[in-house]
Amino acid sequence: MALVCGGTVAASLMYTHVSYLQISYYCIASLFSLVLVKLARADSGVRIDYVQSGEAWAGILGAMIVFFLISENRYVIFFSVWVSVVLYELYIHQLSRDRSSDRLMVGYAFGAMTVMAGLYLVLNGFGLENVSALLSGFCCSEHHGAWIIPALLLLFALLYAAERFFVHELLLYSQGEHFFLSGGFSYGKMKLLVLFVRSISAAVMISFSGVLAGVSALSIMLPEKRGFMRDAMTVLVVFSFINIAVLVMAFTEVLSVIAAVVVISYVLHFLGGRGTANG
Amino acid sequence: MVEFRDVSCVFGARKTLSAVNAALNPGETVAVIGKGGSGKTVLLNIASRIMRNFSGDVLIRHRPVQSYSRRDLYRAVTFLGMTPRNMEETVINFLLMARMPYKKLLNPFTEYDLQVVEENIDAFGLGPIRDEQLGMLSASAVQRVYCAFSFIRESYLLLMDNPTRDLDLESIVLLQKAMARYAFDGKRIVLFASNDLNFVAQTADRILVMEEGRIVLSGAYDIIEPEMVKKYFGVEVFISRNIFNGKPNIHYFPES
Repeated sequence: MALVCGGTVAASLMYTHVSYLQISYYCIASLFSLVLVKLARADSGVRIDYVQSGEAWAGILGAMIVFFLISENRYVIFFSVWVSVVLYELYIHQLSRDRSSDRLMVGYAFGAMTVMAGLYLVLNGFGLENVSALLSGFCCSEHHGAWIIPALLLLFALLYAAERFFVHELLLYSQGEHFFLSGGFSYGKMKLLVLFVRSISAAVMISFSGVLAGVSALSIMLPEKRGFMRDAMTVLVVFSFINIAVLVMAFTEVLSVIAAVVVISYVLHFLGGRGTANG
Repeated sequence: MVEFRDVSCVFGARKTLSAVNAALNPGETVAVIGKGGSGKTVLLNIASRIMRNFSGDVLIRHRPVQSYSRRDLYRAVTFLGMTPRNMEETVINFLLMARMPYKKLLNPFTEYDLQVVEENIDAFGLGPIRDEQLGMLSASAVQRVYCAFSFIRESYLLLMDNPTRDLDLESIVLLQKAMARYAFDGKRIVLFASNDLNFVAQTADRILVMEEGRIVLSGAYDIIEPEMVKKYFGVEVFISRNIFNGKPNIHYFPES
């Protein structure tokens, strides 16, 4: 895996305009994908059929494309994506237990809301130039402020350390309300915290690596590993996936890469993470 | 001591418990039997505070169950009323969860915690499957894990609802031994609801028979008579005596 990882980095550096700074961006995205995987495991009781939840993602992707078109400002992009992801997370956690027809409608409604918000900004003076910022992680330039990299690495390190320290509390949380209460904890507060961290992680990952959220499902398909090795594999796989996407992008258009990545992500999620029958 | 004083409970339009009075003493293993819907599980839910909308008093160690903090309650009462959500968890990690009410935040589990877990892994024969995921186990093995979880908590009052459900014969014997050990030192109480009259007759020190939310009969194993079974369960049975301990063995006649 390390060889594959090294190979894709070398190829990216040789055949594309990717810089070392950009490679470090991909590292951050990969690390945050690990947070997503861990939180997904902690929330394993909420199993949403990926096809049914797809409409929410489709809405978010649409919104992201609009946001990437309107500005090169990474922070605007990040917070825009975060809002979208929070909406998606609320959809997953709070509303997904309703009837499937309601789910579908809520998913469409959130998607439409985010796209409308994006369109509103475009119509109010944000430029449509800068197509190169479509995938902000891939196309970031040197002046984007390298300070954010150590800051986010620190944030990731804190999250990872917290996960190590509170591993048993998280395991208890993953067993549901009845079990978590037995530890003397407040389930509601923990649920909000997980929602917060999860949406932040998803927003960071998406902001810095494009539309690769679904690729975290790759880790499910890996040979069974435990502890640190499993975490490392997850990060390396996502990192390689990003680099491969960058390589592909060097030989084709940005939009086709987006399409390919989305399709691959969905297929991987479908194959690896699908836990329930389609409704 | 655990006391139920005039405990009543209405669920929807139906009265599920009606002025239940009972006292359970440390060292006792008490079984609640009765037809489905007679109020057995409701009684356990109230004792564990899963159900809060009841009238009357439930006292655990002379304190109302409502007055316990969440952590203290889970140290005092164990009731595995819900199945775990994450079946990808390994057996050993799941069992460690039972010690969470005793674990201090940021501190690892103590030597004693690990010792109790290991003892119950041995007691329930879970050694070979300790690193297996719950979802990969047979129904019988999963139920054995749930039973071990309940005993590992070491609470004052252990509540179990249909503990023999899905258990194979070997596991039933292991459970019986574990229950006997649990209350043996006279410091703890086991209260379980069951539909398995043979298991109840062999295991319980005292039996409470429930019908339509009331305790209608109480006594030791010798209350299990063909007339009682006919009256409260609507089934004709033949009862012989176990040659080792003289306790009732209930034989059913499905064709009757």
